[in-house]
Formats: sequence, C-alpha cells, structure tokens
Amino acid sequence: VADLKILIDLTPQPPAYRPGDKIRGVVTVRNPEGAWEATYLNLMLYWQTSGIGTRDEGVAKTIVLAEKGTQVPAMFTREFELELPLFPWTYFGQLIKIQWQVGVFAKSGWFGSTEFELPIEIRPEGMAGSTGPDDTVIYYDEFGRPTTPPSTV
Amino acid sequence: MSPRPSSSSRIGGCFLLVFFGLFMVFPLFVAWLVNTQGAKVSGSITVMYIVLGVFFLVGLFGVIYGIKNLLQGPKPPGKGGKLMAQYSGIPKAPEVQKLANGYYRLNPEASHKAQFWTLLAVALFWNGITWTVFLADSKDSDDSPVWFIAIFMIVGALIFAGAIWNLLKWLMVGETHVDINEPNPTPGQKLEILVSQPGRYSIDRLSIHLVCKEKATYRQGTDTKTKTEIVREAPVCDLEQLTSRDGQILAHQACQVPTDAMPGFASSNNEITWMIRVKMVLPGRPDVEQFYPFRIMAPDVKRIEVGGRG
Repeated sequence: VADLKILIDLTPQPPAYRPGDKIRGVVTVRNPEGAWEATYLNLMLYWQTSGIGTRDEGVAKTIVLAEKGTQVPAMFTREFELELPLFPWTYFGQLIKIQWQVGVFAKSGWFGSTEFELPIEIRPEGMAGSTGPDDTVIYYDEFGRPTTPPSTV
Repeated sequence: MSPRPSSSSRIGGCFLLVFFGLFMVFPLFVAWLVNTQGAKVSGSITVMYIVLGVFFLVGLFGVIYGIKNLLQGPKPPGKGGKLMAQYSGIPKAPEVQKLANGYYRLNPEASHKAQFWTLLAVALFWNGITWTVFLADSKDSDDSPVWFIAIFMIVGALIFAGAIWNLLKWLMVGETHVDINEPNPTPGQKLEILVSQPGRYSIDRLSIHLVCKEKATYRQGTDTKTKTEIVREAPVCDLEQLTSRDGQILAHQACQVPTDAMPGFASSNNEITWMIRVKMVLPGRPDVEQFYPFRIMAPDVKRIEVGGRG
C-alpha cells in the first residue's frame, strides 16, 4: 500500500487549538490500486518531543479505523471527533520542543506501511509557546513582564 | 496531500545495512587474505574460522533486519506498531514538607551535604585508582610517562577540592530553607516565598529568582549525556546587608508566576522544571547558590488533579 493517499480535514481549521477543545475531522484514505487488506489502519492524536534529547512520545487518543484483516475499500472515508488533552502544551524551548500531531498509520501485509501526520498546536491563549530566539533567556519582572537582565550577585 | 516519507528511518536503515554489511565482508576479506595471499595466522586456524563465522552470521542477521526495516517503512508511535499507553507528561509532585504556618518547605535540588558525600565518593574512587597506578608504575620502571598519570592526578585533586568546598559550605553556612505558600502554582498565580537561614550570619547580598530549566538526555556513542540549560529567569528580589538569626525569616517576598510560563513537564528523556534560585554572599564564607524545584501546573490539570487547592 505504498501509494496510499491520506488526507485529514479538521474543523475548526488547524493548527491552533486550546487545551480541552473538541474538534471534528474527516480522514480519507485512497488506494489507486483498489481494495486492500489492513494489518492496521489507525488514527492517533499524540505528542512528540524533539531537540537534543532522545525523542519521547505519548499517545492521547487512538481510533482504530480498520481492524486487522479488514478489507478496506479503495476510497475509505471516516468521520471522527477528538477532545484535545489538557497537557502537555505545544512548546518550543531551547533544548526541548513538544509538538502535537494527528496521524494516520496504515499497513498491509508484512511490508509497506504509510503514515500521514498533521501537526497541530495545543496551548492556551496568551501562551507564546516559544522562549524566543535560540540561546536567549527571557527575563521577567515581579509582575511577570519581560524585562532586561538583572545584575548578577 | 501525500503521505510524508520518514527519511530518518530510511537513513537509519541504510546505516544498519552498511554497518552489518561490513561485519559480513570482514571475515570474507580475512579468509581471502589467508587462503590466497598466504597471510600467516598466529594461533589455531580453526578458532580463527569460528570467530570469522560468528562475525559473518552477525552481519548476515543484521543485513536481513536492515532490509526488512527498509521495506517496512515508517512505524507508528510506539515500538513495532503497537499502541502506546497514555502518557500525560505531567511531572510528579515535588516532595515538600507542610509547615505549621501553612507554607510548604521545598527540598534543594542538591544539598551541600549530598554534594559533599557524592564528590567525596567519586574522589576516593578516582584517586584510589590513579594513585595505585602511579605507585605501581613508579616502582616498575624509570622511564614511565609521569606527565600522563599526573593529568589524572590533577583531575582527582580537583574533585577532592570540590568535595572539601561543599563540606565548608555545609559546615560554615548550612542549608538555606525556602518555603512557599503553594507547591503547585499555575501560570499567573501569586507566589509567596520565605527564605530563612539557620545560624547567625551577616549576609552581604541575597537574591531570589524563579528560573525554568530544560533538561535533555541523549545517547552519544555508548555514553548517556544530559544537557541542562536555564531558559527563563524572573527575579523576585535582590536584598543587601541582612542578618540571619537562628532560622528567622530573612526574606518574605511575593511574586507572580509568569503568565506565559510553560508548566512543568517530564518524560523519559526530557524535562522542564521550574525552580527557585537562592544566591547568597556571606563575608568570610563560601558563596551559596541553591536551586529549589517546585511544580507549575496547567490550570485545568490542577483543577482535576488537586481539586484547585491553594
């Protein structure tokens, strides 16, 4: 199933969402070669870390679109709903980045898997999600406002 | 849109193929040298062929595994296509001691006492080995490269000096106490910080900061390395000319957790931790810099996990 064409449509439009938001979507999987037998066909909502550290990942929700051994039609469409998790938030730090994805993973037989990932952002309003340019430390005053670096002791 | 190819898994697969391919080629090359070029073998030729055979088999299995990986393509999150368990990324609550005044006492990231014992153990181990080698070497030969061993002895001396420095801090300054009114604040929440110091000292300068540290662990060759960096810093206060009197409060400060602070996060190899950093300059004594971890929580998570207490 190397030629699978996968499409995910989300409502509201990606990428920015708030923690706990409910989103709806439609996943379309098209195989130009006709029907195929699924080893797995899953939709996942998951986060991954990236950066210098070894990658960690966590799955918030898995929807099995087709059970193992199911014949999947050449044009497969399925609607779904997701409640976005409260944590972790999307984050772009200096050493660590945390990114959310809605992904569809398909495999038939022993060989030949296909994946499609749609990056989304989950963070509350007012959360910039970034520490600014690389190698920059942001300093705050006692009211939480960005300020100039303090004198060192 | 078409599926995104996973280039990293393909590069990894190719690397595996080349690596194990070399395992296969090496014994064939040695066998060719011995059989056709007349290379001499020291020891048993049977043992040599057994060793070469093991190399070849390891290489063969590696190549088969590499080809299978390449043909299978990308895997979904989780090993071997299996679904992963739910994993929230919420760090464990810090260990705190609830005080009679309603505040919570934070533990330092590494106390002077703990640092002293750790460094002392490392120094004893390191110096034990280097001095043993040095003494044995100096007896055995006159032309030994003393400078080479001296490098290791200097490192050992520095580790020992670090242990002594922490012992001085432990004995001459003691452990600074940091108490907060809320061990799990949320972004934007007001935080009260009390700092006290056992003993009677005059303190030239005391500064308190909220800092956010990122910690990433990664593999480099056969080593596991950790990189830590302070990525955010919010000053709380900077006080001068104080006197500590047997644990009385030195500083009682209020601040606001930055409204756009990323809450604490913890996974196997990546961590985001907020800490209170206390720096003190004491005349005639070692300067003190200690970090006291606490947990900033996402508001909705806190409401569910701790019922919004505090």
